[in-house]
Amino acid sequence: MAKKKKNIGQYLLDFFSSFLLAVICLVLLGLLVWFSTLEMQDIGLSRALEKYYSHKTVFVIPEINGGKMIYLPLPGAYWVCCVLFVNMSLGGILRLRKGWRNIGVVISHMGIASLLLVGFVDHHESIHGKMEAFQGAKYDYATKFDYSSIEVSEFTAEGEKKRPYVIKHEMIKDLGDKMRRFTFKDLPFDLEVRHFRENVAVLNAANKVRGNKSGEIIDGFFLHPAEFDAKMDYFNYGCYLLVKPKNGEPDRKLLMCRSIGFPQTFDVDGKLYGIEMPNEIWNMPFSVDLINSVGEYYPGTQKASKFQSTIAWTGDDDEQDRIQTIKMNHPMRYKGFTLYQASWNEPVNGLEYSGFEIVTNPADQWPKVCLWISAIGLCFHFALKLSKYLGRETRKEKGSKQSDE
Amino acid sequence: MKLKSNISKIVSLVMLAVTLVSCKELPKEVEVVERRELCQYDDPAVYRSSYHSWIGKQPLKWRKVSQTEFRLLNYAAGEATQIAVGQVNGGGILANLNRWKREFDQEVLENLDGLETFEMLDGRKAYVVQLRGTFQKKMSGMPVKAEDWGVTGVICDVSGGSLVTVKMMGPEVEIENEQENLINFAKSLRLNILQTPTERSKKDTTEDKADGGGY
Repeated sequence: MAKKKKNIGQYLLDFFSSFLLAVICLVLLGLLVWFSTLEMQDIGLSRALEKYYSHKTVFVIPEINGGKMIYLPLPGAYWVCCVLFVNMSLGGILRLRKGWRNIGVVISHMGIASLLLVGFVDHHESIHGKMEAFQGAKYDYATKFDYSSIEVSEFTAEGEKKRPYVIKHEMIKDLGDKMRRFTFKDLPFDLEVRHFRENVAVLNAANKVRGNKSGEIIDGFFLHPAEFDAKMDYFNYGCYLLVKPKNGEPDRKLLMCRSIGFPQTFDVDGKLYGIEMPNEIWNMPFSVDLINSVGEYYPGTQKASKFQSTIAWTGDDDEQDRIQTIKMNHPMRYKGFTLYQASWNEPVNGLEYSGFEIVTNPADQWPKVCLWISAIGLCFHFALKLSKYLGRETRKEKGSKQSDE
Repeated sequence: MKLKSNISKIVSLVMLAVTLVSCKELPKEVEVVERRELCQYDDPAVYRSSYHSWIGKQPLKWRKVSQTEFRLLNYAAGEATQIAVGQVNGGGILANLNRWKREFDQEVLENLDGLETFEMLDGRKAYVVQLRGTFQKKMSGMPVKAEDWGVTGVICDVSGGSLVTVKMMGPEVEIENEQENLINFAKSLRLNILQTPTERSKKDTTEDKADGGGY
């Protein structure tokens, strides 16, 4: 009997549901995790995550030991996980023979496939930020990791700040040496942003000599590209601005940098305005008052081994403060926000300090559920196998007894 | 052969789709509409780092610029005038005023008599020195010279020899125009001292708002 010819769809289905593809994906993921862990020492955690695990990375060439290229182009981990998800769904769930003997395997495959789906949701929907809290003040905001912003504010005659306009990271990150113009409905000027750089140093022209890549001197300072410090894992964004008043007043040049830490000011039409470049400010639905923070170093080092904070926090709906201790694996959760103890330092100017990481992730608790599903599936499957084995052994014993008789 | 041809068609279609998607570019002009709600980040009284230790009421025409290691608050005015708030531990008021005088090659003072004074920082006495002429100094080993230059310096002992200085330097013409602004700014300076939660809760919130502000 002649073999039935397969069409393209069937070939694809066989390929994407094959055990071989699963093995290839797992080996690739193992290599990606290994190389990313090695490279993280040189380029920092956030850049390593961006390079290896972002959906924007189709292929990656690992570089380790200070930039030595490993000529082994690997597909990005995000896309390998996508293929693995399809593989598990088709091969591990859809095409697997259904029956009570395999139900445990199907359940555990569903748990793993769900875990991959959770990773997908986390990658696209989660937001990470940092709250730096000093003792003695309430903090109701965080700054988003790796998202710069330019904030434009007007100040009242008493010096109070009005609600700032926000130019987000997506609107300036591609600029490089190009220029983009920003307009504002209620402000008497437009803004031209140029020479956006991911990492710069602000240098005093009185003390430092400008190099080829240095920017223009403005008010005695200029920007110079700086090496990314993997240990600090900190992007010091910078750019140049040109304020263009609509009333014919002369243009103003400003120099922007994250490390400046406060608005660069100018006046137009007799009013004071300020522009600054913080990491994107993220308003929180709660405020945190650091009561105390405690930490310990590893012996003989300055690396913190254990730290925890006691905070008084008030949610939007609360009438009074709640006291809570935050430490490793014991975060605070409120309205979809999770606050983790992320860093600690010795008191600064006599003030205790704690750094918190804030995360919003709609899939925050899903990994726990997925692991329970896998565990239940595996337990069921292995219990089944054990009972079959014990049954077989019992039958063997019975059989040998009968033959003896 | 047919299979290979089908696979190559699929691959070509996928690559075309990826190329088209990745060609998106932002426009050259963008209208910004998003505004953020104010929060504690915007309150200058909330401590964020050691660079927020001092706050003062900034004159409208001054531009706040990047601070440096020794300039806790740093401003620019006019074309070339700089105003810097610094903190000096040790030396005393007279020694520091004479250091400024030597930069203009002027005779040093024997005492503080005859100098203009006013009150700042909760009633502490501040001394004012006016210097005009040719400025000459070595900065990072390089000689710096400026003709028709001026310095108006304010110096105040905060406590036990810890001094706060407010120094304005620039072309003589610009310095003359900013005298009043400098003195008013110096009078508005205050230290950003944090209160404990207990002390904060005792204060009237209305009083907090009146005290706040001032970049």
